[in-house]
Amino acid sequence: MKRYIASKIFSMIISILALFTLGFIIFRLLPGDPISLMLRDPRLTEDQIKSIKAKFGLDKPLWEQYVIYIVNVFKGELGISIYYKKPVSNILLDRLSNSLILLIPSTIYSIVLGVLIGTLCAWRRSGFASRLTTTISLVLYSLPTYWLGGILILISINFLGLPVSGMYSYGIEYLNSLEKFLDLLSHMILPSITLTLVSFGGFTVITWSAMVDIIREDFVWALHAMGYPSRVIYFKHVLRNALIPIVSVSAIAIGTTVAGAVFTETIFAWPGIGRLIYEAVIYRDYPLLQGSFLIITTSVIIANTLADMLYGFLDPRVRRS
Amino acid sequence: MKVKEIVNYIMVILLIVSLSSGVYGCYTYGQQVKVFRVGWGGTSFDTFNPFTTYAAISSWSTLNVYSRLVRIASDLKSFVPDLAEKWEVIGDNTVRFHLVKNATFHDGKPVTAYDVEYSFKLSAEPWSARISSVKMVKEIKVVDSYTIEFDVTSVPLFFTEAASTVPIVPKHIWSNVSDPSTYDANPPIGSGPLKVTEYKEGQYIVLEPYKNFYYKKWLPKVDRIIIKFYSDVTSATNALLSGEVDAVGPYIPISLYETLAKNPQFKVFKSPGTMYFYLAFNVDPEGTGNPTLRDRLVRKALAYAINIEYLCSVAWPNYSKPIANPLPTSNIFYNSNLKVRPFNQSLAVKILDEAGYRVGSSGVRFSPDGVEMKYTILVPNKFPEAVNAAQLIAKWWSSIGVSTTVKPMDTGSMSSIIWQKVDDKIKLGHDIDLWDWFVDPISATHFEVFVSDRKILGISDSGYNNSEYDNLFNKIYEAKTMDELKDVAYKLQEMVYRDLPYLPLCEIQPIQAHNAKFTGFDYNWPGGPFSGSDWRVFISVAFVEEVQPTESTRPTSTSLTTYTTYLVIAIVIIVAVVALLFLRRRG
Repeated sequence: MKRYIASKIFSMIISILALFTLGFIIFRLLPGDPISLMLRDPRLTEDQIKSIKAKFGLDKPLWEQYVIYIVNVFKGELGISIYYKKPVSNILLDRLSNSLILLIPSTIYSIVLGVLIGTLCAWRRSGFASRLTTTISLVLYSLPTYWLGGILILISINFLGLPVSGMYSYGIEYLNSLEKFLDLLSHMILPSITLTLVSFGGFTVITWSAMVDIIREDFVWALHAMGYPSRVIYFKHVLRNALIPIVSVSAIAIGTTVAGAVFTETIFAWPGIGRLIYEAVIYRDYPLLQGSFLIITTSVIIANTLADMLYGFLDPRVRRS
Repeated sequence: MKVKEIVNYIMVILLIVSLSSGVYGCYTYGQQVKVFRVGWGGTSFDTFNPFTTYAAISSWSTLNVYSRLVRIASDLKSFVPDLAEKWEVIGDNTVRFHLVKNATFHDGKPVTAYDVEYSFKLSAEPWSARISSVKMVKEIKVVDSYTIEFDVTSVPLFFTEAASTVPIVPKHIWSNVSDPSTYDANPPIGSGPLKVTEYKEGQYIVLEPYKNFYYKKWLPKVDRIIIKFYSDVTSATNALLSGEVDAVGPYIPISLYETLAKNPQFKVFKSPGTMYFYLAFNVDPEGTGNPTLRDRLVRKALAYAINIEYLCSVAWPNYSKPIANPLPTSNIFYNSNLKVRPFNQSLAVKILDEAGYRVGSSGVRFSPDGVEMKYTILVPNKFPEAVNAAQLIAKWWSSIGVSTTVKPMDTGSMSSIIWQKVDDKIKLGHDIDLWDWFVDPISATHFEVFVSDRKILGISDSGYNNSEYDNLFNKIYEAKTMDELKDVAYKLQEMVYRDLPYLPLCEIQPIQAHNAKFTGFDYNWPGGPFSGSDWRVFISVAFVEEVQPTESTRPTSTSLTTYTTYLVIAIVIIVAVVALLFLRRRG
């Protein structure tokens, strides 16, 4: 087991190092440079452009910029944002925490709801309700986030009166922290529903297909023959055996949670990392893009490595192979 | 299900409801504070440093935080005192300002002429975004603590570009900063009527009155102003509809116009424009685009083949108007003697025929040198209206034997095609682009976009190269009077009209909206009150009298009470479902 874990950690480190380089190259391949996009002013002077380029190191040859970037990453510095003129790490930390507040509960709801519905559908797989539920899950899964979010906003404006933007009702003097917390929860309702609805379908399908595979195995028939109730067979024995693909998809989902949800955060004006990336792409803010890319890819790799380790724990055959 | 289970069930639900009600009952409303909230869906806020910001929202947020020497008056022709209570022009080139003596910064320190001198010097630093605004300043002399003199090349230009725009910052703070070019100035300390009391990056800014401000009449009529940031105008307008903000800038999307206009809760209006769309022809002598566009007659024919009036009415219906010059009509230097060229395809055909551009077998004309009149129009895909306009233009041109392809793309891709580096030199690589410019209502320096050296800086998208124009433009910096300045500006427009490096198309008149319970806005200010250029908005905003007494800090249509009710219902349902499953499993 120790060797298995060590090999996984080693691959993880190699992948992260490769991604440092990829993160540097990929954004410089985007057409247009940050200066021309940010400074569209007919009165710009040559000195001004030179000075700004020098400040962000954009006047240096690419290889030199790369070396500086790598050295700084190892020192824990992600540079200064070209657009915001502030340290990238400060901006990212602030936005990351906002994203996680929204995305962790939404991801958990999606997983729980998806696994629950997937299991129920596999249990009653020949029934009309099961087919209907699977279809609805798939339809929701295929819906564009922007569209669903827009519809929810429309419903809220006309009927519900729920907040449609931001994290808090800015400008309010809260009487206590509970009041502030409830205000946050109320702002989370619509984006959370959007995120849950568009993502639980994936978990439903994975769970359903994994369960259907297991159901055909002999031990399930044996349990039926022994007179165990169906609910116990499905929820206790079949679901446990179907966990591997579910864990795999969940790990990826948790990893990508850090990337934020660009569309949801944009439409609900949630000040998270997804919206920040959207803005950084528009302004070609290389340091901010590199920093975001680094955090996202690292978290996905870590989550996948953890999932790999978990497979080994869940299924000894994986570990031995 | 057993009776016992049902009873358990009801007990659980009742318990949750009673607990939630307890929470609900704890609510009491906040103090009666008058708040005005603006939702901003334009370019993101970048920094409070007024010397490095390029974002309209950043400048707007601090327009009343940092004092200026003078402010532009509502008539856009004269100036009103701000930090300088009076001034006199000495000779042709010197302006002496007398500062108010009771001005203090938000940290309580007095504002003196040394702060003014320091602020103008910072503006002139090579890294400063304001360097071009102070180009006409030759020398600054502090006469005493409250008197300062500027020796300038052009007095009227100094007033429009510098005295009314350079923010006055505290020298005692900024001179101690190791690098003012990277200083984020958060919280910003100025001497204006508003001070920043809270800022959350990517979320909001809170402004409150600075009670010690030197002109009491400029103190805002509300207690708090909140600027909330949105990633686009649609999200910001949705927030207006849901009652989370009271106004939207820089404009509302046309798709939500009807919804807002029908609702008496909102005031929807159209203001004079500060933005315009144009066609830029690649006339760069070294350019790699289609060379036929360097022929002025070709550009003239192409201009006559566009029905600009119809184009504006179709692409931007009811919120645009045709323009003859590369300036919005609200700009004080707009030359109204020049008229939009009439739509005359016969004339266009005649011009091309006479210039030797014959129609080939494919139906496309070719030049006497054999170059086909096949063009590509680049257009930013973030403006679907502009893409439609380009397609309409292509259709018109096809009927005079000109083949045109419209390529919508992001502005980064456009830039990389337009300004190409070939052998270490910038050459324009496109044929035509359809793009937009924003112009300040009193700016005369926008004409710099046609100065020859602008191409190498990645600014001129036409590559216009005319030494006569360059010399005339430099005269802007020597104009002694406003009339002289206007005269130069008019002549520059005549040259652009004649040479057609740009074909100006439509000026966009922004549609904005605010909650009808607020008043005090000037809808005729160029760009409207919420475009980020009107310095008076936050000072003059007020509640209309009948709603004022009932106003509280809480949004009316989305009160916390409503939110909590839904939360409680949601929690009850979730817990009930979980409890049901749990009880069933146990059974």
